[in-house]
Amino acid sequence: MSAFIDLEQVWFSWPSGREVLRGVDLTLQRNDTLALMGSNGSGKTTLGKLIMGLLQPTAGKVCLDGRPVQEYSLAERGRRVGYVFQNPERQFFAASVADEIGFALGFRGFSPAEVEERVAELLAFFELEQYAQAFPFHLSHGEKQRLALAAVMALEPEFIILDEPSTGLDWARKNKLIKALEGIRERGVGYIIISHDHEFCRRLCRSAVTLKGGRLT
Amino acid sequence: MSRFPDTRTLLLIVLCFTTLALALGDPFWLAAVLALALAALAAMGISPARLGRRLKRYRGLFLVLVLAQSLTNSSGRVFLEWRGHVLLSSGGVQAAAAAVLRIAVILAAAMFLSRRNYQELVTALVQLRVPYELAYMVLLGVRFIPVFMEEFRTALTAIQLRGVDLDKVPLGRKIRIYSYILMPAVAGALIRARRVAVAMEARAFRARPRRTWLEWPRLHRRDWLLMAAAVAATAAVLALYWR
Ligand SMILES: Nc1ncnc2c1ncn2[C@@H]1O[C@H](COP(=O)(O)OP(=O)(O)OP(=O)(O)O)[C@@H](O)[C@H]1O
Ligand SMILES: [Mg+2]
Repeated sequence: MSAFIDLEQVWFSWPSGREVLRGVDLTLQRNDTLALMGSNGSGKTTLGKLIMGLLQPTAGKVCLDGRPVQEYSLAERGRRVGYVFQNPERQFFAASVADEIGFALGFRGFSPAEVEERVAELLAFFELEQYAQAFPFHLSHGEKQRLALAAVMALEPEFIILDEPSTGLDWARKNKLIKALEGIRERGVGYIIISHDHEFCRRLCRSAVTLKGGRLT
Repeated sequence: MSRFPDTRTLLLIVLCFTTLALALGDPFWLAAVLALALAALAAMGISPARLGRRLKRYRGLFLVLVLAQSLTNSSGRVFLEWRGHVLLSSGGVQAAAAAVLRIAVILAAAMFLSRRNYQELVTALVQLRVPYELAYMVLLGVRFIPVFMEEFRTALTAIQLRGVDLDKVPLGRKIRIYSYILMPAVAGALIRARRVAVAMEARAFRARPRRTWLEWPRLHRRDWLLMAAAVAATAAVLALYWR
């Protein structure tokens, strides 16, 4: 089986000249679960965006399912790999929480009844029912975090990248998220969790890497 | 400690160049003014290469401008014609060149202030007797434009990552999507603006009618000389052009 995500000697510097990644190699199968750790500013978010093709490496190759990630349209990438932004606010655009989750489904040929059912399921799962008609920007941070996850899960991607999903969640919500990700893992969907939360990662990921000095260790 | 040139002097220089950019209509004159502006920038240690990068960002706009100018202006020698419509004429080329150069001069003029921070600009405006609330608001507004653009771009990426192929969506739906995207960009900008306002009030902005200034730079003789030279040069160029 060929790798699903494949990074080969990836280097990245910002136009300002700051070199963030210095030769990163990473190979993941479709059902791998990886924890990506590293101190603040070590380039974890940058690496996540490179995998999604939102940033282009200065040198090296990033492949998704055997093809360079840039060959896929943004929409194709998004359907295959769910990406939860570090700042969940950045990915909201609908006028209500329910719309936010159902948005993409409508564009993918689901009937309104099916969309409604799926949205109701996700709202219930992430305990957001009472906010169904609320404005996403007015939610608390933990609620935004859960909404962002729900919206990405609605797409049923083959792989998920979560940038610090556990920050801002209380203990009970975090456990709930762990249950959700365990369920996803059982369905054969892999993920990368970017996090500082060792306990969270230890429970969810088979392997862990740390980004330090621009390299993975 | 005062810097030379003073921010007010720079503001005047910006004003002179923008006046010239708007008053002159001949591409050769505009090109000369642009060269002068770039030379002055270089003398201040600001690299003209930065103007190139800015111009590149607006190339789409330029293309539209050039097309509009050359299609609507049919004076001079006609180069290209189609069924009696003039597509390209020497007058059109000149008008298009002038339009592009005009924007280049204005962008170059703005670069004179690129080494000054907000505090210095606000101080300069207040020294020119602009009420400081107004000065702050104007500069904050200018500051929010790039933030707003960035927000818009992020939303565009986010929406596509949700599996929406913008290229394949029919026009009617596309417009709906764009209105979707505008929402977070506007909401984000408004929320941020309100946050800034609260943060400023929390730090006692406007709590008292008078305020003190950490720095209150003074104009030196060199500044007055530079200002006089800038105004005289601008007047001379205009006089020659309109002769
Ligand atoms: N748009 C940008 N332009 C220039 N430099 C940037 C930009 N975004 C991030 N950086 C820099 O790149 C480095 C890596 O940032 P990144 O966001 O990937 O870190 P991180 O590991 O995700 O940190 P955190 O744990 O705080 O989320 C930082 O030093 C940051 O200052
Ligand atoms: Mg990060």
